[in-house]
Amino acid sequence: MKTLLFFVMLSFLSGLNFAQSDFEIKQSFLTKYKQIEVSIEYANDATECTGIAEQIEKLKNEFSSHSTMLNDALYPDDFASMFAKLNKKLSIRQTDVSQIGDLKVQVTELNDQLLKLNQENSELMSQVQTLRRSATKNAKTIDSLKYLVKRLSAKLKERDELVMGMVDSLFQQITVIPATVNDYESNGVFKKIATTNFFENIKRSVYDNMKFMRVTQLTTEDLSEIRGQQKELSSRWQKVGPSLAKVYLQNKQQANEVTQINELFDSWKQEIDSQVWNRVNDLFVKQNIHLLQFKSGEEFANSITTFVQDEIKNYGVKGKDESDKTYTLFVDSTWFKEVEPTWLPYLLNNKMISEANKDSLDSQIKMWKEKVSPSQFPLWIIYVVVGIIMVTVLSIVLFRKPIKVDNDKPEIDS
Amino acid sequence: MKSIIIAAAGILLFSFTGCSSLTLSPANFSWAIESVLPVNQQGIVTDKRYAVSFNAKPLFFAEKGDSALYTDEELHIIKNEKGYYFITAKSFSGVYVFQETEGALTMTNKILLKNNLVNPAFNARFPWIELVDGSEKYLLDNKGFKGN
Repeated sequence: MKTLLFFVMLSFLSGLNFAQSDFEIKQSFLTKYKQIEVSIEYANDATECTGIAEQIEKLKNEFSSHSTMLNDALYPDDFASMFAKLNKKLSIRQTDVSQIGDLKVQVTELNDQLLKLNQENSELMSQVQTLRRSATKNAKTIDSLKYLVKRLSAKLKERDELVMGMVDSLFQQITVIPATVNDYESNGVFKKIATTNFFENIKRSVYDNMKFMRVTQLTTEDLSEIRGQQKELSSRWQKVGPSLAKVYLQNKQQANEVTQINELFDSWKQEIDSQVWNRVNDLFVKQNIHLLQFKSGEEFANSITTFVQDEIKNYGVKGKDESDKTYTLFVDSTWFKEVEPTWLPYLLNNKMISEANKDSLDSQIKMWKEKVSPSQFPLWIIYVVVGIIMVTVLSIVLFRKPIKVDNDKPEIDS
Repeated sequence: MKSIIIAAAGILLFSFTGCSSLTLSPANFSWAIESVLPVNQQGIVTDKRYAVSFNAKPLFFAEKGDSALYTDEELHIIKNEKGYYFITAKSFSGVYVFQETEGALTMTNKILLKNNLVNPAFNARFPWIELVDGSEKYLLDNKGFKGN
């Protein structure tokens, strides 16, 4: 009885043929169309795109019987042009999605390589430290230390490139999608950050570079290279960092990571500067010259000036030989041998000292030199001799008799 | 004399021909789909697509006896091939037919229905205008129902 009742109801309901308005058909078409547009915008992978292509085909079939009416109703578009637009949108999204897919694969590969490199670098770093601490500093030890440092430097660079590859890929992903938290979520940016240990890898890269500087003795060339590396990595991070900071406003932990990385890049820069000043100071310490501590161009200039002026003022107080020895060690063995040819150009190029600082230092050294070995030949004698020569030349020019030239000489007939 | 009369008649005929109105036909003014338009606070209805706007207050006065009862109302409007406007709305007793005149829409007919409309909609069904209300369907022209 129940079944019979059900069939009666069903046949009654299906018999109710509600008339449909064209306007409603148009509205229904536009609503479904808009839904597909939104799905396209949020599609994450190729499978979703394929599903959307099927939905488009379904929509087309569903409304094809109304295409004539829709051609007019959708003015200034028409049925065909609306689908052409939708397919174009889907095709653009498919390209984006495939690029993101490729990047994901690349990132996974990069991650594996990174793990390997991190391990190798740690081993190399500890070997370098062991060798540096080793008491026996024979030629063999020094050679192997040099070799290890070189290898470590190359490996660090290789690892940095990989990390920055990750930063770049994330940057590309961020730029192809709208920047709101939900969009980042739906496009897997957060997932990528989590699965690739994104923040950890960047931090590790910066830490290792700082550690490398501490365990090795770097030349000006090395320091220039590291400074270039710091600038390059920092500028690449700056492309992504501010966007991520904005996105992670809600997430305290992740926001802290972004801030920490920003601070790390600053610390790295300060560490490079600090290494440079330490290296310069070491040159003087090696000669048993102890300057006031300096950490900037101004402090460096003040430290040298104070030392030189003290030496000039106290010249001979502790004995002439002692003062001369200090001068020789400072000026000849350190300043003219290493600081001026090697470090001053580096400091100037990297704007760690100003031209004015350099000029002031040059004049201080000149004054000290004048004090230690004054010119033997008095300068006033040169001035007098030059004066006499000038007066003589002027007298000759002014008081000489003019030579008379006789132009009226009669012609001699031959 | 005869020839003078013929000449005068010819001139008269020629001048009448010159003054006769110019007609462009056939013409089709039909809209492909109805417009469902809200009445604004001033009682004005505007259709951007067809660049038409008019004061709807007199229509509500005619239908409800109060020209202020237009707030939150939507009008269903469609134009047939002859250029007549068919206008109705929910709870209206019928369909109003208007014609464009100088700066106004002038009612030419009111097609009354047995019951007030519940959920009306117009469809263009050349040469007719289809009025749909739930399961009810009517074919209309400016004179009334089809067949009347």
